[in-house]
Amino acid sequence: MTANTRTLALLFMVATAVVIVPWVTTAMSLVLSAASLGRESAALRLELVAGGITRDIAEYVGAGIALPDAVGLSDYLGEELGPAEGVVIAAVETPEGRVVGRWSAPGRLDLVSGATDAAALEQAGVVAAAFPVVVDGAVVGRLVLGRATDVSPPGLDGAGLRFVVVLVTALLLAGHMVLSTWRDLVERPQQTVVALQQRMAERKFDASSGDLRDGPVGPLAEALNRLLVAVNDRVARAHAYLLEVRDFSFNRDAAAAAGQLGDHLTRSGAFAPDGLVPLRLDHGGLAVGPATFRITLVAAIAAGMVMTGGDASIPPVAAVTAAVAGAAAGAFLRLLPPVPRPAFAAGLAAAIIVVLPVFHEALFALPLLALATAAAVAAVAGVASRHPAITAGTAVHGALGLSAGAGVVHLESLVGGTWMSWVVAILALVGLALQGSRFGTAAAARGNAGVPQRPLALALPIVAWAGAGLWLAAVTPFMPGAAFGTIVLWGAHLAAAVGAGAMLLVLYRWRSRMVAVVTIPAALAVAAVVAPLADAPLAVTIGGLVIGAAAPAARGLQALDDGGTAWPWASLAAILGVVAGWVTGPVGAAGLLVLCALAAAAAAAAEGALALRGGLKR
Amino acid sequence: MRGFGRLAITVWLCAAVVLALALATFFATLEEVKTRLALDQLETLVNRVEGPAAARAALGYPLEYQADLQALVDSLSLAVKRGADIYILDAAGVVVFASEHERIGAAAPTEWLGGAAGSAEVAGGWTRETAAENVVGAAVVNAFGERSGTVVARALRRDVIIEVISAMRLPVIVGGLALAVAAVLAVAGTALATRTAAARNAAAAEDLEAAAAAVSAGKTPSDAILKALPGLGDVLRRLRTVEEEVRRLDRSQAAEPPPRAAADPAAARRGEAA
Repeated sequence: MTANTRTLALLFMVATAVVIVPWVTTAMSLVLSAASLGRESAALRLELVAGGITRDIAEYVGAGIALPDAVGLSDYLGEELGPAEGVVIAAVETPEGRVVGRWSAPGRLDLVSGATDAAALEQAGVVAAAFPVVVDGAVVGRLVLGRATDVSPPGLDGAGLRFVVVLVTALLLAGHMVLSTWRDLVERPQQTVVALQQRMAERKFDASSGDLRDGPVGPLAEALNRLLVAVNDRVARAHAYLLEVRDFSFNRDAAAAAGQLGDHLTRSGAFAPDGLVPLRLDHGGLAVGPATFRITLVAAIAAGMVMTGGDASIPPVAAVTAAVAGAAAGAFLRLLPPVPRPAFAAGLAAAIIVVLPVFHEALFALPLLALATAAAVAAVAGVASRHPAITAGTAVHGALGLSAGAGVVHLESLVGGTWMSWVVAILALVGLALQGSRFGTAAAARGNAGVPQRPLALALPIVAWAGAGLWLAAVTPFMPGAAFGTIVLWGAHLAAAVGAGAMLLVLYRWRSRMVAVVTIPAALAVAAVVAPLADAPLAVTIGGLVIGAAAPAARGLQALDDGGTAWPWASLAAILGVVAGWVTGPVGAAGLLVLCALAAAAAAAAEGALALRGGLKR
Repeated sequence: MRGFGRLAITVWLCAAVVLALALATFFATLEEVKTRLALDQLETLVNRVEGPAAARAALGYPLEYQADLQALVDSLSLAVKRGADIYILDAAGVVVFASEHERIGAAAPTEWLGGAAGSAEVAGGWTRETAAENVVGAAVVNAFGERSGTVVARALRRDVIIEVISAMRLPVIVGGLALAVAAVLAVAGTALATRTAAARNAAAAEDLEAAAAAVSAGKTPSDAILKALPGLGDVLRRLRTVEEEVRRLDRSQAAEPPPRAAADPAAARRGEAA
């Protein structure tokens, strides 16, 4: 474990402790507040019930029958009280304390007989209250009503699970925030410092770290800059001395020797006596994981918003399972050799997605869904990334982002409205754009060969994410009514889009680019036929599969790994997907989907045509 | 911990995030609890009125002639501190008795008669929850099994929300204290977690500063720096070689007489005497 990893692990532990404190206090406050409300409400209900019963008994006694001589009071209590009233024991007593009528709830054999005073009932787990029976201003008896103390207030079912979702979602978001800040504050400048040190090992002293004053690596970078300046100063002084000797020497041999020494000094390394140039590196590898997390977070929120309509909840177990499955899938994929890795992951995702609709009513569909989602993200990352070490991490980030997004949608469906999802999605997209501008600018400035430079290729990520979000909006009318099936199919479509994009990218790399030109119109045609006719999950899933097989989706994710200017575009695409899906609704969304897909097809066709003419260079 | 302040702020923001999520969940859960409790209370109210009304309806008394029901409705509404309103409707759906006196004589909304969209049937009656109100109702049936009227209890959702918001005072205050504790934890925890990294960075910066000073003064940096930066040692060696060579050249230039003095020995001697 490297020193950085150790520090990061400690920071995660600190963040976990910091997260748990307010979580525990709020959960305990909920329990206390709910218990207090429950007690007040139960007491009021007892009063309401007692009011009616004491009135009836007072009428009975007022008719001339003394309470000690009353008959049928137990039957009367049984008729008046039912389980809905929350009463477990009722007793009518004379002023002397003799019980003349008694009723206990079914199943409470311990209350059939015995004392009815408060202390005795408290031992039996009953809170009792006594209400006087008044006739003509005189107390002629009393009514004792008791309720159980161990009944939790209604509506708390599932509260524990909701708070688990809060904790898991918060931990995922907290982990992402800490990691992103660490990479921006420490690892990115560290990469620059290490690169400078490597250049010094190659005898290159012509670059500096630039202005890294902010952050913990700032002093180190400043010290390194001063060393570089000192070396260049000394070289400059030596050159100046040599020039002086050469220019003012009367001895031609000495002048020649000075000139040779100057050449020797120049060849001894790369220097910048006129001033150091800030070194600009491609830090893209650091940002792929966090960027993937943000994008899948927004994608999950967008899909949840348009698919569930705000009135269904996403099973929390799917969120947790996705995280675990994503980590496991990422770790497993890391063991495979690089070449078959994406094909295996894509094949796994496709197989699960085809099988999934058969089991969509069964509980074990959820882990399958999570595995399919994780495998699909891993497939895309695996194909897109040229660095095997990034593959597993990106797959995990993607699964965690999906999980966090699912958790946010689940929580905001409880509150009602979509403000929470909007806030989280907008913050994630703003962070994505800032991250892209910080981490990607250097790559763009140095003309990284992997960055798509052409306007058409830059437009592809826009339609990629807009298309993925709008597709999900378009199929909303065809969802089955059950919320459970809806949620599972939502996840299946998302995984289908990503997984099919991965499969296509595999083909895209292994075959000619004409594959994209042919496949996208074919996908549109199949979707146009299948989706409107579909009333079955399988048909809709297949429609999602082929519509998701859009090269732009895969290219958009590929551009993430290449670093550079694609990230702001990807974030803009995600914004478009969220806004369009939410505002336009299914019909408008379907129309926009067709337009975007046609634009993607045109872009891919143009790219393919250029490739055929040999005019396209990567 | 210089430079890790932003990290500590980020860690503290994690606490703010979880507090926001937890408070939103608290609100939603407590609202659900309060709504369920309110519905239970409304059911109790309906039962308290429906019982006597149904008993007399079974004896043939039409609802609108049971004048004492108004007193019952008023007393029950007072008992719940006006937190709910009770209405008794006749068979035509007209309000005959109500705790909200202004409604007496008016036609009740059709949703109050049960069976409307969004209603849920419960034993002995029905419930309906909308964004504005919670309603519980039960039919009053006469001896012939015919519906002679309806008893309805209604509570506004606004009152539920107000009560939940006032119940949130406790978690907001406790949450604020928790954030203060989290701030201390964040600062202390970040300082502890990054102590080694900060010390390592500081030591490395000190070594590099010393190396920079040594290079500027024409001296050789420490062996540790030279080992860490092998290219530096190589370049400094070459630099030193060049510097020594050029000094040697300069000294040799100074030792040699100028060319004009060698051609005129007398002038050279006069130069020596001067």
